[in-house]
Formats: sequence, C-alpha cells, structure tokens
Amino acid sequence: MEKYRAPNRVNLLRAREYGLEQSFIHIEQTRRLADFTLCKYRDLTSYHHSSISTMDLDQSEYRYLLSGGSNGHICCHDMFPSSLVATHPIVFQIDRNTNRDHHTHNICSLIWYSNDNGMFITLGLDKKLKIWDTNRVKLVDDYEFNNFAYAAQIPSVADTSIIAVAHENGDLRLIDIRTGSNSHIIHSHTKKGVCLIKWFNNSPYLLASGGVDGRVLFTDIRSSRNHYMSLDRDNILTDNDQVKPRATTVSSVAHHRGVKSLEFLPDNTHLLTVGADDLMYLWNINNGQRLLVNYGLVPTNNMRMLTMACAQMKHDQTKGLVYVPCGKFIRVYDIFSGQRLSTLSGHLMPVSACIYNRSLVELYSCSDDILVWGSVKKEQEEYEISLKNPERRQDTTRSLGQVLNRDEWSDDEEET
Amino acid sequence: MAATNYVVTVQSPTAVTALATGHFTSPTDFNLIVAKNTHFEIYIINSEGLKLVKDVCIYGQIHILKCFRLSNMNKDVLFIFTDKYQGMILDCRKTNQDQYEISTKCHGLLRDTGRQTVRQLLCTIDVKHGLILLRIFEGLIKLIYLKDFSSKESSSKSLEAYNVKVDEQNIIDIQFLPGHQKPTFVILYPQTSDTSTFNRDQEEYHIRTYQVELKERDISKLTWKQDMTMSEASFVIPIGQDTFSCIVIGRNTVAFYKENDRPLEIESLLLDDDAGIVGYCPIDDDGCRYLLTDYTGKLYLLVLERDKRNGSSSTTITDMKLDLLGETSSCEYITYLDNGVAFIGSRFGDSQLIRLLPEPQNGSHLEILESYTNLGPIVDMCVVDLERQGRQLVTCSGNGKDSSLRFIRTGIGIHEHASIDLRNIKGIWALKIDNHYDNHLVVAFFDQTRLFHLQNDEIEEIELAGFDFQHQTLFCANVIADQYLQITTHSIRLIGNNGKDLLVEWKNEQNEITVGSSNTTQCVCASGNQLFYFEIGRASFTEINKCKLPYNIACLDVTPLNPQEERTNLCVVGLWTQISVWIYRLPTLDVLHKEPLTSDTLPRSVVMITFDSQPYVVISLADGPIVYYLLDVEQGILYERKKVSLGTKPTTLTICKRTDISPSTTTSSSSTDPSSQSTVLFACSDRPSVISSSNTKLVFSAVNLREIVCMCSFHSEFYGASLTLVTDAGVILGRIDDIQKLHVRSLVLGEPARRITFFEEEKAFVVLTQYMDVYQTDNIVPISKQAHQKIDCTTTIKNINDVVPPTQNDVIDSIVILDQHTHEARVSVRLLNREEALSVCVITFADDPSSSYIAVGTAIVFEDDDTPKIGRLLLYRYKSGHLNLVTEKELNGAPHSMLPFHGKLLVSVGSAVRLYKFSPQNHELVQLTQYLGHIDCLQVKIKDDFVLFNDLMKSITVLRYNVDEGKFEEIACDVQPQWTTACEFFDDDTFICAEDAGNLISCHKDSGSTKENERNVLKELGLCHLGENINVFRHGCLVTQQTAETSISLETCTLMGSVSGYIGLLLQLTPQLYQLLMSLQLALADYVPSVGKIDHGTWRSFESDNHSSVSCGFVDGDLIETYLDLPKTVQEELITDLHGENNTPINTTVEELVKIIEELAQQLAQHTNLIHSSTEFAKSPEFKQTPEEITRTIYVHQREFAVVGKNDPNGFHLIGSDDATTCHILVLDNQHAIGVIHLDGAETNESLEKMLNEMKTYAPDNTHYDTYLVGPSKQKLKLYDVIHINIVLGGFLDGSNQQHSHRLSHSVLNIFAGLSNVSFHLKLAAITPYNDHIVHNVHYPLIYGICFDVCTKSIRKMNFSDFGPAFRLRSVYLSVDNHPACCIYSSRIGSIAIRQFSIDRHIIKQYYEPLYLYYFHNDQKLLSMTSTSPEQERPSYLNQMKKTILYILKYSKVLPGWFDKQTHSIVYYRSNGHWVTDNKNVVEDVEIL
Repeated sequence: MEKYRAPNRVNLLRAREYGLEQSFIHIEQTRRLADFTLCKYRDLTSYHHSSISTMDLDQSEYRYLLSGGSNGHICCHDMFPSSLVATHPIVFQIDRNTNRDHHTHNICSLIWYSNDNGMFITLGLDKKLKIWDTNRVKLVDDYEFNNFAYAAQIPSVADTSIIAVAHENGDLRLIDIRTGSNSHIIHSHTKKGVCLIKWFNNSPYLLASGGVDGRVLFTDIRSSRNHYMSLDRDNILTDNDQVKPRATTVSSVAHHRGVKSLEFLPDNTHLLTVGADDLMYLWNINNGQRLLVNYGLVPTNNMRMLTMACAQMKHDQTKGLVYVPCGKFIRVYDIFSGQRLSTLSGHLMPVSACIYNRSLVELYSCSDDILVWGSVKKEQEEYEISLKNPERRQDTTRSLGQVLNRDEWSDDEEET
Repeated sequence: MAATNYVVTVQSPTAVTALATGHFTSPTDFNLIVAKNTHFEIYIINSEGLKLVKDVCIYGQIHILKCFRLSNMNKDVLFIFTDKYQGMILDCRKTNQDQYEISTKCHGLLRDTGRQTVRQLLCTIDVKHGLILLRIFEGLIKLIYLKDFSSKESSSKSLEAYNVKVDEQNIIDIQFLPGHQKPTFVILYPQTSDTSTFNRDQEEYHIRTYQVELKERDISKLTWKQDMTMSEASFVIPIGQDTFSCIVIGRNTVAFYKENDRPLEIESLLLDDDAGIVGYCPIDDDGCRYLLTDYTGKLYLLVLERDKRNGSSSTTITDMKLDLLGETSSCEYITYLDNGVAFIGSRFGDSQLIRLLPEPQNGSHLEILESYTNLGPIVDMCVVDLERQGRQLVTCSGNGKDSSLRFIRTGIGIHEHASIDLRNIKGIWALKIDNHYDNHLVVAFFDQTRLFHLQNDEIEEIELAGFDFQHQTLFCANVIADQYLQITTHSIRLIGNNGKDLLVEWKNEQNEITVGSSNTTQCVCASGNQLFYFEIGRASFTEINKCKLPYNIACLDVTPLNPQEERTNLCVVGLWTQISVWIYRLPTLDVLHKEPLTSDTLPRSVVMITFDSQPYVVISLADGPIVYYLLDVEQGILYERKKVSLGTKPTTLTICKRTDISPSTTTSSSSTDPSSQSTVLFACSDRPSVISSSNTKLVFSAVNLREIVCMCSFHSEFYGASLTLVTDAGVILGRIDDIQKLHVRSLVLGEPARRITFFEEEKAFVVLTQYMDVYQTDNIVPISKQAHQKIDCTTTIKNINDVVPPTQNDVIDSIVILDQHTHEARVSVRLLNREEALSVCVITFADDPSSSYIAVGTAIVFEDDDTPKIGRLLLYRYKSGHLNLVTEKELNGAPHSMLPFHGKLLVSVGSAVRLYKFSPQNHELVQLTQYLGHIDCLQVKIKDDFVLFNDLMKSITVLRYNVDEGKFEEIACDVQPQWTTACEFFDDDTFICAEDAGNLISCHKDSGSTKENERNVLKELGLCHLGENINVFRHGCLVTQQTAETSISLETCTLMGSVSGYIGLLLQLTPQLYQLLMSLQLALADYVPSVGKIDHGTWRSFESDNHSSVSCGFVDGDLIETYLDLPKTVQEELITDLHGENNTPINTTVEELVKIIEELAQQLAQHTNLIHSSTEFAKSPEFKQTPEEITRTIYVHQREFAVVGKNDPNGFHLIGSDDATTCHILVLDNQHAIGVIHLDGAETNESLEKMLNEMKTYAPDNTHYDTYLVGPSKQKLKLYDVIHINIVLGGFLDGSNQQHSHRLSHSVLNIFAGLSNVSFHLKLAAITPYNDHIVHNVHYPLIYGICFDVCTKSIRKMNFSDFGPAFRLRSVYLSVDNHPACCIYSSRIGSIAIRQFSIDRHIIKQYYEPLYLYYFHNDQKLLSMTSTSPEQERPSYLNQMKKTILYILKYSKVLPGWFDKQTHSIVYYRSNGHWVTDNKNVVEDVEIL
C-alpha cells in the first residue's frame, strides 16, 4: 500500500501551478485507486432478476454501462453524475417485454463499439451475435452460429470492423461487420473449446485466445498460421543467463486447467491470465515469457468466465492494480509485486466481472447486482455526519474533527 | 448567448520551452531559435547581439525543437514536434514579400496508441545517416528516415515514421553516437525489474548501445553497456567520434564512461547534495568544454582534459574539471552562441543573454548582457485601478529565487528628467543654435514669445536679437544654411548668425498670420483665407505663390513625406466652415484634392507622415477624434478614411523621431527601409497618445499623463534623446517608455508569491510568499525579510500546537504587505513551521462594516499526509501601517480559496464550501453553514447570490445562497468529470472553467427549462483547446484605448493567466457577431497557411486524458486578427462565401469586418469602463445631503425636467430625481448647463425634445452631450444595446450603423438614435444588470435616485427628503394628465412655474373616488392598483400616493381658480433661500387622517 501513497495534495497543487507536475491527474488517480470503498449511496436502478454475467463500459465517454444477465436480459445504465448520492437511471433495456430481438439465453459478451457509443454488440448462449444501434435501441444485424460461442470481441483500435468470436469447438471465427462476412475461421484450439478471446490493445491484427485446455495462443490474423505463440508456464523470465528461453512446443500450456480470464495491461506489454487451476500469471507478450510474480491462490469457484479490471498509472508504469473477482469478494493485487493490497467485500453472490472507469476513477462489479466502488471514504463519513446532525448552526464548540473521531465508521470487514 | 466566446491573446507565452541554434535563415546567418510554448522566435546573432527577425506561431505546443543539416544541404532546417503528436520539418527562405518565409518541408501525425512516456519526450538526430529518432511512447522508438529528403523541393511531403520495439522502459535519455559506420545510439535508463519489489531510492542506472539496421528498419543490441550508481541520472553526452564513450550527468554527479576503460568520475566540492544539474550545452565543436546549469541558477564550466599523444583520431579523456562561473536565472535550457556569449532560456525567470568573462568581476565570471521578460508561471494575479494611469494587472510570476511581481499595463509611462514651472503655454519648439544638439526652447504664449537656453541641466531665459518676442510664435524651426525661421502672428522672420541677426522679415499688411508651417526649405502660412507659399534660401525668403480660399484656413502642413528629403511637392490644408482638407501641389498651389471631413467640428491639426513606406494624412478634430487617410503622393488623393476617438479636447499632432521617444527600441524587422520606421506621431490632448505603425496598421498607444497641451522632441547633449511635454502645470523634460503593447515592470521578490490581493483602503498589496533555503542568493534578500515590521505568528489552537514541529524547517511561509506605490514591504508575518498560506482576501464584514480585515487561510502540510488534516483561518486588521491579529479559527482541511460574500467570509475548505460570519463582540469567526462538495474545492467565485466552485476532478458546481434559511442550495453541476484548474462566472447562466490538459470549457445553465434534470445539469456548450494551462481567471480588461464607433459588446471581459506566462482575454460575443466571426474563422483557417500544415480545427479541438471533442463555442481571436494583415483582394475573396448556421449566407463587407476586428483587437476599453463605472456607481454608498445642500437642490419629479446652468442666479448647483423604479432618469450635460429629466414612458419624445430645446438656449452651438442614464433593472434591454445606441449617437453620420438602430428596443434610446445633428456621449448607464440586485428572487434596482452636482460634475446616489415647492400639486398634475414633461426649473428663468391644468371630472369619478372608497385602507391592493412595479416601490410610496388621492378629491374643484389669471400659472420664486409664492390660495399638502 505504501507504494500507492501520493504526495500531499497541497504540494501537488502547488507544483501544478508552477508547471512542475505533468502527471497531476495520474498521481491523483493513484491516490484514489488505492482506497476504493463501497459507494453506499449510489444505486443503480435495479433491473436484473438473474445473476449478471458480463458488463461493458463505453470507451468514448466512460459513461454508459451495459450489463447482461444469465437470462438474456440486457440493460444500460448512465453512470453520470458520479456524485456521492445518486441513483443511476436505466437508459434502455432489452428483454422480452421491450424488444422482440432480445436474447433468450445467457449473455456471454457485451461489447461497445470502440470509436463511439452509437453501436454495441451482444453475444448470447442462444448461438446468436447481434449488432445494435444504441440510439434507436434497434437490431441492425445478427449472425447465427451452428455451435455455441463463449466470447466475442472487437479491437479497441480505431477503424476496425472485425469481431472475433470464440467457439466451443476451438474455432476462432472472424466476422467483418462492414461486409457481413462471417466465414473466416481459424482452427486454433483443440476440440475442448476456446472460451476467451481478447484483441491486443494496440493492434487490429493480433489476438489472444484462452482455451478450456489451458492454452493461451497469440494469433496474427494476417498470417496463415493458426497461432504464432503459445504461452508456456515454464518459460520464465529470469536474470539468470544460464537459463535458456524455452521454445514453445505443442505441449506448452499456460494453465493446467482451463483459462478463465485474459486481460491485457494498458502498457501494451503485459498480459494477465487466470486459470481454473486458481493461479494468476503475468506474461510479457513480446517474448511470451512468464514473469515470476506470485499472486498466491486465486480461488475462482465455479465461475465460467471472469472479467478482471486493470488500472495502470500513466506516470509510473510500475504502479498497476488488478481487481480480481474471487467468489463474493474482489481482491486487489499489485500487478508487479503480486502483493494483495486489499479485498473489497459487499456482494452477496459470486462476482463475475469488474470494470474500471478510468475517467471517474471508480470500479463497477457485478454479481446479482451491480455495485460501485470509489474513493469516497471521507466524503461518505462527512455525509453521514451531516445526516445525523442536520445543520448545527451556531454550534461551534465541537470541531468536525472531534466528531469524526467519535464516530467509528469502517468499511473494512475482513474476508472470512 | 451561452457558447459564443471570443478568446484572444493579450500576451503570448514567455516561458522558454526549447532552444536551438543553427544557420536557419540563410547559410551565412547564425540563428538562435527560442521556442515559447506555442510560438518560436528566430534571432540573428551578430556582433551587436541578438536581433529578432521573426516570430512564428505554431498550432501546437512545441515539445521538441532541433536544428540540423543533412550532408546534401547547404543550410539548416528545423524539426519540431508538438504536444498533439504533429511532427514537421521547416525551412526558411528569403522571398520578395516576406524577408523570412517559413515553409513546411515535411509534416505528419506521429501518433500511436500506447502509453506516452512520463519523462520529457526525447529526440536525437543522426545527420550522417539522415535519421531522426523519437521517443514518445513507452516500449517504442520512432525512426524517421530522411534519406530522400532535400531542402530543394518546394512541395511538402508527409513525414513517415517506423516504430521499433525496445525493451528498456522509462528511458531517460537517448543520443546518437557520432561517426559510426551504422547509426548507433546509446540509451540511459534506470534499473527496472519487472519482478522485484520497487524501491524508489534505488539509484542504479544503465546505458545500453544499439545499432540501427537501416534496411531492415530494426535495431540490434551492441555489446557495450555500462551500469552505474548515481542519483537522478538525467543526461548522456556522447564524446568523441567513432568511439563508445559518453558522459553521464546525474543530479550531483558527472561521470565519463568508455568502452573497455575505467569510468572516470568528477570529484568536486561544487557538486554537493544541493546541486542538481538540469541543463547543459557544449561550447566547442570538439566537445571539450560544456556549460552546466543547476536548478538554483548556478552556471558551471566542465572541461575535459584529453590525452594529446594519440593524436586527434581517438582521444582519451584523462581528467575532468568543474568550475563555478556565476549565477543566472534558473534554467533548463542553455545554448552557447559565440565569442563567449551564451543564451539562458528559463521557465521560471527572465531569459538572459550572458557573456562569459575570462577574468572574474565581482566574484563572477558572468556578465548579463540582456534580459528577456518572462511572466510565467503566472500563479495568481489581480487587476488594480490606478488613479489617472488606467488599469494595472499585477501577476505573481516566476518560481524560486527568480520570483517576482509583475506590474503590467498598457500605455506609456514618463520618465521625468526635469520640469519647468511655466503655465499658459500655447506652443513649444526646440532649436539648435550653434550646436549639433537641441539647446534652445522657443515657448509661445498668448501675446508673447520667450526663449530658453538649456546648458546641461541649467535653464536660463535669454533674448536673441533676431527673434521677435512681442508676438505669439506660431511656428519655429531650424532651416537650411544654419538659419532659423520664426513665424509669429505678426510676421515671418528668417534669422541668421546664431540668432543675432534678422535676415529677412515678411509681413502681411492687411491681416495677422493665423497659421504657418515649414520644412527646411519651404514655408507656408495662412492669413485668414489667404495661403502663401515661400521658398527659403541662404539669406533669402521668397514668396513664390499665393492664393485665396473660400474659407479661413484652420491648419496646414508641408512636412516632407520622406524624412531624408528637404522638399515636398504637397501641402495639406484644413478649412473652417466647409470642414474639409485640401491637398495643394507646390509650388503652383494647384488644388489636387478636396476631402470633406464629414464632421461638424473643425480640423485642429493636420500632418503628412510616412509609416511603413505608406504615406498618411492625419487630421485631428477639435472635439478629440482623429481622422486619417492614406495618401496617394502622385495624385494627391486621399483614400481609406478611418476615424479613432482619442480624447475630448482639441488634439495637436506633432511628428517626432522614434529614437527620441524610445532610444532602446529595436527596429522591427518587417520593414525593409529603416528610415520609414523612424518617425512617430505624438497626439497631444487630454488623452495623449503616440501613433506608430506596426505591420502596416496604425497603433495608438496611450501615454500615462493626464493632459498634454503641446510637445516637441528635444535631443539635448546632456539628457540625450528626450521630449518636452507641456502640461497645464508646466513643462516636463523627459523620456517615455518603449512603444509596445504591454508594459511590464517587475519587482523581484526572491521567494515565490503564491497569492495576491489588493487592499484598496490602505493602498497595499497583500502577498502570500514561501521562502526556502535553496532560494538563497548573495544579491537578493527575500521580500519577507525586507519588511519594516516583522511579526511572528503564533497560535492558541491546541491541535495545531500539538502537531507543529518546534524546530524550523527550511520552508517559511509569510504574509507580506507591500505598499502600492513604493512597493516596499511594510509588514511581514512569519507563519508557523510547516504551515503554508494558501488563500487570502480582503473583507468587510456585515456585522462590523466600519473596518476591513485581511483574511488568510493556512494549512499545516506534512509530506506523508494525503491531504492537510488541520489548518486555520487568520483574521487580521490592518490600519495605518499596523497589523493586528484579530482572531484565528481552526479548520479540518486546506482552505484553497476564500472570498467576501454578502459581508461574510466564504471559504472552500477541502471538500466543503463554508460560510463564516464575524462576531465583533466575541472577536471570533462563526461558521454559519456549509456545503459538502466532492473531493477538493479549488476555487470559489461569486456573483450575486450564486457561488461557483471547481472541483479537483468533478468539474464545476453552482450553488445559491438562500439568505432566508442561511443555507447553500445546489443549483446545477457539470456531470462530466473534468480535472479543473480554475473557474469563473461569465454571467448568471454561463460559466467558464479551465482544465488540466490546457482546454477551456464553457458551461451553460438552463434555468428556464421545465425539466428538473435539465435544470440541474450544466451543459458543456463550448469546448476549446488553448494549449495553455490556466491558473487563474480575473474579470477585467487591460486595454485603455477607446473608440467612438464600435459595435462590440463587452459585458464580460475576463483575463486569464497561465503557467507559460500567457495572458489571454475572453469575452462573450452576440450570437450574430459570433456567427459572422466563426464563419470567417473557418474561411481563414482554410486560407491562412499553417506552419507545419497543422489543421486549425485539430489544434483547437478539445482533448483531455479520456475525452476528446471538436472545438465549438470559441472564436480564435488570434486567427481572426490575421485577417487584417491580408491583402485587400484576399479579404474580399474570403468573405464572398461566408455561411452561417444552416448554410445561410452572411453578407458583409470588408470594411465592416475590418472595423469589427480592429475594434476587437485593440479598442475595447470604453465599454468596460462604462460597465465598470455603472456597476461601481450602483454599488456606491448613498449620499446624504446637508441642510445647506438641500437649499441648493432642485428636485425633479416624474415627467418633469429642470435645467441648471453653470452660474445659477439662485445658487442652485445640485439637481436630482428619485423614485426611478420603472422610469428613467436621464442627465444631459452640454458643458454649459445640466438637464435632468425623469421619464416615465409617456410622451417621451416630446419631453426630450422640450428639454433639448431648453438646453440649447444655454449653448446654442454645442451639440455634444455627456449622458448619464439611470434606469430600471427588470427590462429586457442589454447593455450592449445601449452601447450600440451610443455608437449610433456618437457616429450619427456613419451610415453603416443604421442597421443597428432597428433592433433597439427601448424608446428612450430610440429617440436618442432618432435625433439628428446632436451627439451624445454615454458616460454612465446604470440600467438592467448594472442596476440590479436580487433578493428572494425579486429584482430590485440598486439606484432609486441620483443627485448631480453641476460644479463638480459628479453624480451620486441619493434619496430625497425635500421635494421642492408645490410637490403635491405637481404630483396631482402628473397623475391626472398625460402631458409631456414640463420644465420645472431653468436657471434662465430662475423661478418655478406650475402651468394651469384642470382635472377631468370623469377621472375622479371613475378612478380616484373608487380608489379612495375601496382600497384606501388596503395597502397591498392600493399598491397593485397604482404602481407598475409594486414590488420595487419604496415604503414611502404608499403614503405619498394616499396624500395625492386625498388632495385630488379635496381640491379638484377649486384648483383651477388658484392659477394666476394672466400667466395661467402658479409662480414660485426664491426669497431668502426659500421658495415662496404670492398666490395665497394654494394649499401645499394634505395630511392623511
């Protein structure tokens, strides 16, 4: 935690006034990141009746949060304003009552289009991928598959139109939504199936896929090869020159059991994976070497897929946090040291996804409901005091500090 | 109105952000190129120093600036990289049009996705292989191949870059190693290990070498690497050719590394822990000597000693030496120029040109040759009004030891050498008698002339036989052959022999000579309507020609247009009666051109002058304005008339040499002919100005003197170039400042000033400073230690005493009080250890209105705290030099800002906004209420009941203070997360805030919306990238120019100050003007070539960390102003196709546009003054009359007017009116009489006409009226409409303004506009928002009544108690009849006459009787029945109304009989200081029973 301490804000503000601090925003973000707590007074208008399987936040305004339930219902919340007390309204919803093109089974993937939030893509276990117009909440295109698809993603680079879909039989399907072609298929994983797919952050051609067989493959879609790299847990980065880098082989696996989560770090050089073997690994994506970071056991329970959230500081790339859903809790690890910094508890059901909002510096997590986490400890305390003491006008004998000391508010309930 | 802003640069950035040297402008010129954020300046270095040749603006913030030359080029080109990832290669060529034209050779967007490096962007260039290496994003290196690049090509190519991956993260420096076969570079980076835990103190660094495989576009690792331990390694300098060796510079280490060699580290006592090397530059090409600077400004010389044995090919460094040279401004950028001269580019202090001395002088090896002003970083500023001297902006600038206060103002200051006590001077001329310098002054008085001789600083009056001292001299000058020409009213005398002999005398027998002028060989004079032309020779003065004109000649001029020449063939003459200027051909006296002046005042002075090779004829008119034309020398034709208003009194124009005015002015580069630059025009009037030319535009710079009668330049031996200025108090011999836009005076503080505020009552600045031991220098004593009185501040708050360490640490915060005039520190207060002063304001509490206090907010700051946990408010009383602590108050957070608000103290403490009141009994501050905000409220601003604050991260929020409940209510907030730095009100519904990434956001509150969620949300309507990090907004305006004809509204002028020293001005435009300018901006953006081919739209587009959007709502004034410099044909072309919204074409003319833009560019001040005076007036305290004054007052009731002349027979000198709730009180001043009229909307036209007729009897010829208007607050009229009116009034002859009148809404103003041949000059308009004040959501006027003093011409707020005679009768007359306003009093008549009237029976029956019957005892109802603005009426209104009703009912029948049968009126006259009437019947008043 020491690492995430920021300089005194007064000094930081002074440095900014003199033009000495270019990373002001990022340092302040770090300060906030390190002490996330549950925002008790922020509610999302409740909608989902089943457990929520996935969420996505739009990347152009960082404002609209899509969430999809296991019953196929989709809903979009407006996360503005981010004031202490707020109820976030539902912008639109897609279910059997409101939209005849709704999904009928569990939602596997929800993807906002990366350039703007005028379009989003949904993938359901009803073997359908649908493309929606946000403004009219209307289906514009859909694709139906013969077999189940577990994940889909669109590159975050501008001017791309290719959706990658991960199928149960180990195939990767590429759909170009501009032309509507969906026939390009890469047979990369074994028949056990592929359950996760992620595009590289800075390339519209490279993608990583994680299979039920525990393999993580990097594929260049321009190349005829099925994959150009397969991550191997024994290929370890060391300073020891004696250890020769291991060439990846057919047998190399990233995890002993299926891959449950893949997440690229914002620095474009690292990848985090979580496997069903309850281990989390950090990889260098340039050479495929695993970094020796020990996160300990990361119990994933029975969740099929997890969405982790990574926050990395622009001013100092060594400061990176990952929020990992672990049962009913969210664990916060320092990415490069493996140290567990804290545990966020508040959900009553297993958490399936975490989403970090870079703009508002807050975290959204979902199980059967969606919770908002932010750095609001002090504000909440002050607010609670003001609720208890409605406007003490002339009372100046007690300073606010004394009142603060008397009230013992704490959100740190230890994980049991 | 919301998103229609105009943003323009007042002062471009001054902080240096990059430096380069090279042969850029030509192969022979050696240039220094200085980048200052968004522009760069090109200097030529020659033996005299630096000469600025070009200032180039870039659409971007310059991050990298490098000058280089490839092997196939004969001169250097410039590589620039900006903050929005635009790269470009620029070349400079001399062309015909522009001496130094910048052309773009290559340009391109070098953006990538990825994470930008935290450290400074790195760039290194290998000229041998033509390779630019850029380090922008982590994990990548960009390579730009310049193989096929040559400077010959004219077209611009796109810049292409290839990305190469590097493993090293967090790279500190990259440099190419020169001389290798393949491009080879060295990387310096810190110890990083992905796996190990991080330790910040680890100080291990590595260097690695790489080689670029040009063909493969890849890099490969080389074997040489080096590990090192040092603190904060920051630079790597390659040494030698074709070797692997380099120097690495750390914070206090200099080490040399070589392949297969032992590292060599410098050991010097100079490099102690306090040293921190921040910049370096090589001196020689062979790289043996370097200049190093540390962050305190110390300059070191690093010498590498080489082993010469091995010859020159492979050198070995045997030793390194470091010497301290001296101290400069602290700087990161330094470059060695030539001949021991180096340039220091500073961000925190003035940049300097220094010479390195071989032998120390006063212990320093440095001599500072020149300083270049730097305002940045502007941390805080305040706008101060100076008496007589206009506005002044005071900024807290600089950091560390280079900190200073900068006093910035427009206008030119005077440096007085000597003064002579002479009054009533009519004219003054300097003569050179037997000397090369001016040594005599000829001074003309009404009926005599005196001659003064100046010897050194002694002045004596002498008489020389050749001169005529009995008559007033009209003109006097040195002419050819060492002769003197004196033109008096009596004769023209040619004087020789050093003034002793009269050679020739010419007289006009019939008439006196009225005006005369000459150059060295020609002379013209006029006698009445006769014009004579003479030629001057050696001892000869020959009348060549004469002619008769139809009217008398008012002024004339024969100054040669080319200053080098002795003759001219043109003479320009101004005429009386038929107000015009005529151009004559000399010697024939043929009329070439007659130009009517379209003015009704005569020309007072006329000159011909050449500015920038363009001849002008400038004419001053008797009522102040100046008209100027371009002159066609061949044809003698005048064209392109322009008019500028300077003063209000007759202006005299005098040509003087620019060098006389400002000897140090470096001649501007743009002019090809230096001689054309050498003259300027001095306009002597009550608003003296210097007229000069800049970029073929005339620039009017005000001189900071109240009034100058006449002047001449005086180049004396003793004083050097100087001026004699004649004021009404005497003659001043002195020099004036440089002619430039802004004048900056600096007060060195020696410690950074963080906040400043002005204490009006005590004429002092209150400054918060912070001193650190590292700022210590030998020659500057920090301001807090200079104070006469030093106070230590202790505290009685236990919590603070507990935490504050007893031992002093190296940071000391102080409160310093500076004298406004002497700038000396009067008092300084030293705060506690660890206590930092954060905010300050001057406040008068509502509970203790008698005295003002200084409130200071502090916080106890520990570095390990997240945010300050404890702080305090300090309240001081400062009276006549003594500072006393009144009280202190504990806080639980950092008070970021504070303001007085409703007589209470508004403080933002951490995340809360709190309101404190002062209890004078207990001497303590009591918290009234607070609003809990988001994270940290940084700045609070107030307007009326509203409070605006910006949050650290959550944009801006508007609160309203509910006076009843004493609580803050949140009105609206901006939901976008914005990392704001500053905020300000534009108006009630529009707000502006600045954002961390250099963007401006204007937000609009939709208070009219019916939906609650729309009302609560601020809409971000205006977004714009400024490229400047704004620290502070202040309402105000610096410009002091004024103009008569303008169409610009200026309700909200806001100045902003930024980190780079940029000062900008923001103002709101009317939607029409916005549309026009915005469409012009689009056209201009396409047309004006952008350096580096950066699109203007891209540059201005909003871009922050996580949000980007196209620019909207802001007009870029800097771009708009370039329109003025375009050739006329292009100007026309551009406006032919302007389109507004929905593609509706906009029709405009070039002239109109140019006029608008010129006004925007420089002449805004009159209106801001008007607004300022109006608001100030509205807030001024009410005037209480003494009984003596009451007897000298004329009260004007509703629909009445009165005119009081200057010498009233009854001694009245005060005139006023009140009860202006919905009515207008209008004061007209025609210099001879004051008229006050109270208009209520009925018969306005006739009323006004009647008054004007009455006023004309006092001054039949005067058609110029000063106007004061007090009106209601509620009406829909905006001030800019009033200003439009004023324009129409002022420029009633100008047809182009007609179009504005149609949209004028208000009748009074409409009538003004309709009146022809009368001009009104609006001096005060206390109407609408400027006379408004909202309580409980009801608008109230601030001014009910006014009182005007005829003698002092001062206007004051007043409520009357004595209404003069027959008040009830007058009220009745008003109530019963819709007649035009009647004249209640006029000094001409001296008595009050109430004209006969009768009351219609029907009215009484239908209106007054029921009123009395039903509503008389129901006040509410009565009020609503009788008043048009029941809410605003004052309490006395009802009582008066009731009396009037009773009076009508009681006396309506007998009333007609009271009037005198002959005069049909009741006459009151003055007797023993009372109004009396002979009419015994009249009943003065009734009482309510």
